[in-house]
Amino acid sequence: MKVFVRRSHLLVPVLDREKVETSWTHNADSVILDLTGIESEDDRSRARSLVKESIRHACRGGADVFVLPNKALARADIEASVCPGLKGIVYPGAETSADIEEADSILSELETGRGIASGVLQIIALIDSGTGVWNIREIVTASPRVCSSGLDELNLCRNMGIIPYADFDPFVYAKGRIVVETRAAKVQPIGISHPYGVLPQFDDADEIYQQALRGKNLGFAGAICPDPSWVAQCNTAFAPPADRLEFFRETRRLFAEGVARGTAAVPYPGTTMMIDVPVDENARVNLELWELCAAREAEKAKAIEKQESTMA
Amino acid sequence: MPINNPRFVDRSWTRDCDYLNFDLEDSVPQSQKDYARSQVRHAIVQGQKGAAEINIRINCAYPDADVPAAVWPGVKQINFPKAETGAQIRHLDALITELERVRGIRSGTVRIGATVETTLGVANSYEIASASPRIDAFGGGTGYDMSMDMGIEMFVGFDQFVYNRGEGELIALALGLEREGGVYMSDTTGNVGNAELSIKRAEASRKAGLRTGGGLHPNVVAPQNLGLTPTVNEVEDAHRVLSFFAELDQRGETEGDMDGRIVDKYEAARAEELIEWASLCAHRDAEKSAAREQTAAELDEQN
Amino acid sequence: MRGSVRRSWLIVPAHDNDRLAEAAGSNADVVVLDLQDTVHDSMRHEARDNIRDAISDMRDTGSEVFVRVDIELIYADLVASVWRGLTGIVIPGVTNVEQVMDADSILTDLESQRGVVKPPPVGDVREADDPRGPEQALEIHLSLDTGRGNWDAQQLIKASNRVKSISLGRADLVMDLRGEPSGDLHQMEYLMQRLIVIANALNVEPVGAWWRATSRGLVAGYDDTLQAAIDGRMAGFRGGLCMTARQVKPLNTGYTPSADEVSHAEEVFTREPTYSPMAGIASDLIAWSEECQNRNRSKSIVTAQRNQ
Repeated sequence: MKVFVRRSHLLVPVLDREKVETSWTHNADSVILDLTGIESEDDRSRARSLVKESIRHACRGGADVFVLPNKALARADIEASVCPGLKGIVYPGAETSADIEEADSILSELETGRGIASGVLQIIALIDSGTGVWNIREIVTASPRVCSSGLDELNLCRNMGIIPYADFDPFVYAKGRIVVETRAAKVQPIGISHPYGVLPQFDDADEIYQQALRGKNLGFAGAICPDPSWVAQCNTAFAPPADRLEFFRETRRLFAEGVARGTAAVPYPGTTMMIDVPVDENARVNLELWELCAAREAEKAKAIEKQESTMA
Repeated sequence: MPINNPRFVDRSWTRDCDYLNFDLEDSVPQSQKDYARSQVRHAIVQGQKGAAEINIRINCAYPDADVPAAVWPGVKQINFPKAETGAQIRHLDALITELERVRGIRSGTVRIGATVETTLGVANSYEIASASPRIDAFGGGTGYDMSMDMGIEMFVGFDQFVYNRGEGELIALALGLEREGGVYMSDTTGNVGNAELSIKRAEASRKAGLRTGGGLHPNVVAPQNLGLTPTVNEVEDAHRVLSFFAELDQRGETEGDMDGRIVDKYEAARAEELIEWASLCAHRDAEKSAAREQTAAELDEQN
Repeated sequence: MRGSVRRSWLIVPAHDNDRLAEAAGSNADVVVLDLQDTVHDSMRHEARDNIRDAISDMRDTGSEVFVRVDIELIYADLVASVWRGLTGIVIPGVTNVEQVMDADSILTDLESQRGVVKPPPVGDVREADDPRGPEQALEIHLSLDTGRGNWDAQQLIKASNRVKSISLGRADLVMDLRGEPSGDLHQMEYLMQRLIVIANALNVEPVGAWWRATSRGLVAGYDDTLQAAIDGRMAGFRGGLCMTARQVKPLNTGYTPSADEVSHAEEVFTREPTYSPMAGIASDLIAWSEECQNRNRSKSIVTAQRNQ
């Protein structure tokens, strides 16, 4: 799978200057600057004029910065956004490979025109219709720029005529399909469990963690955070559990010993568990992810340090 | 079970299994693969003492080395793990076809069991399941390897494979293959040898319309056999349903109420299937029993 | 919003005069005259003979009318069914594109021979010389009750422009999907949610209810039916099929937003920013509620006219 760590994508409306200016302080792996949901044309122009500065703020903590443009006004929004410091764009409501190809060519044009290395800008594909769910395979394979995909659950409800309720998860099939097809294409699926995907809450840290953990156990690699209260919980939940690291290391050690002795099935003492190739591989994968997460934290810490020394 | 473990292999015939799955893949370390390949003929002899059907699980990475070692008279099925493309299955089919020819095995009788264990496999399930007429059963991708590919931990108290199982069973139904699947029952212990949970699961599976199970531990064999076999009462009831329906049909009606239950042509079909299934189970049990008795007698004579 | 209000689709055996009379008084949004599973082979001719009159009886009581045909006898069933007042046909057991195209072309021939067009919405009147357009072609509803039918749903739906709605039909019986310890039917969550995604992708209406293992093949009591409709609406269905007249009321109720829901939606709509998805969801619910009221009203108008 594409190797990067983005467990938390903090969503920040560009016109909320306070939120933008503090966006880098929450330790999010990624920040998404939101240009959608703005009603007046004047406000939309103003938002576009503020994007580049907003990117500079959002970068300060080492986050990968994306912009979420309006689907109907994509070109203008994207043109206002492409500059050094931008990691990529979110495509809202992708339905076919043609949608992604169009975005891809806009980005290529702008990379060339603005002295940005060709192909570096990434695309996060968000799905908000039955068509998008059905066509997920062609969407995630339409361009090497596609790094992640996810469901925009509330807009998906709207487009499918579904009223969101906490007690009923209408998207078990859709989430399963997104996870499978996206991972099959070596792209990262992002999302959180029900009901927080449609009815987010922000006051119960434990519950946020549990929802994120369930999301991870559905196969998601990270989630969009509509509020800073989700960031720390997502960073933890989407990383391997710290209290299992010793177990993973011991698993690898025991299995290596077993292999040297000529066996590929080693009991883990004190449990009914048998370590075989897949169990050992799972331990390896988790330890590797742990290292990647640690490296990401170090990267962000370095960026913060740099900030502080620049400001001092 | 790993084929390179003589203790497991030599006792395999005593386990009362319908199928024995001798493994050349994940339970055999790299250093022992060649030795494992040489053990197939011995494993066949041992397994057949209990009249189990003999399956060999090969390595998806070495079909050209494994298949010639595996396809001998007595082997019923080659299990192909981590299937990801139709091309893999077609290649496997061709290898098997050639070996049937040179080893005097009736053409087309060796089956392929394709197991999907990665997300790519789930995505390509239709092309996999339809790639060879040797595939007569198919199911969704679940299990340990799948969990790893999905980046999830299993046994966390909710059903994590709804989509995967759904796709596998739907494809089996669309292609007219036997459905391999399961009924989700919450289990947070991760204990593979849990007999009680096994019987519940097998019963639930049977009642949901499924006919097979599998496992990693001898403890689960008897409970699965039990859970997947209809009871005497159920068979009697099925006969009643059939006569009731015959009468309805005589009278020109399509459905009727039998003790508060609806009986129509669908219930009649289910009753027929249950009676047939019960008979197949009984026959299979008798076969295995006879084989074990004979083997035991032969062992006595030797001593 | 998409399509008509069709909250209840009552399937009734076309040979059974008592059940036909019951269906006429049932207040169903749609009556499906059955020539398939509920009709014994020996009664088939009688059933076909009843269709023409039954269509007008049902129209007179404010229901739209479909006929459920047997795919193996489709020609004879369509000949018996294409009469003025028919809105469409329900085809179960479809497994390949040729079957859909075949049905489409038989319908085209019969429409043309008999001058039959799809009637206007219940309560409206069409003038004799109103122009005839594609929206007046008789509809096809596909009951995807087989593995193959569900797997190839996209191709089957695209095989004819007449296909406007789909359901799983009696998939639980045809595909032999039985109860699980949870109380749900095996694979139904997956199949229903998949159907709804495909329907949305192809712009056709998904029809169905969230039946549980306690309700066998669309025959359930009042409470179970009401719950199935409520859960079905949460999943994205806007109407369900049933086999008995007493199930019509709970289906109509379950698929209609309650007064509480509407006032809550009005409050959300006022409070949330106009372009937000929540505002959109709220306004769609309000619109759906209005359409349901319109449907109820036009039924009353039609029955009042009939009683005069």
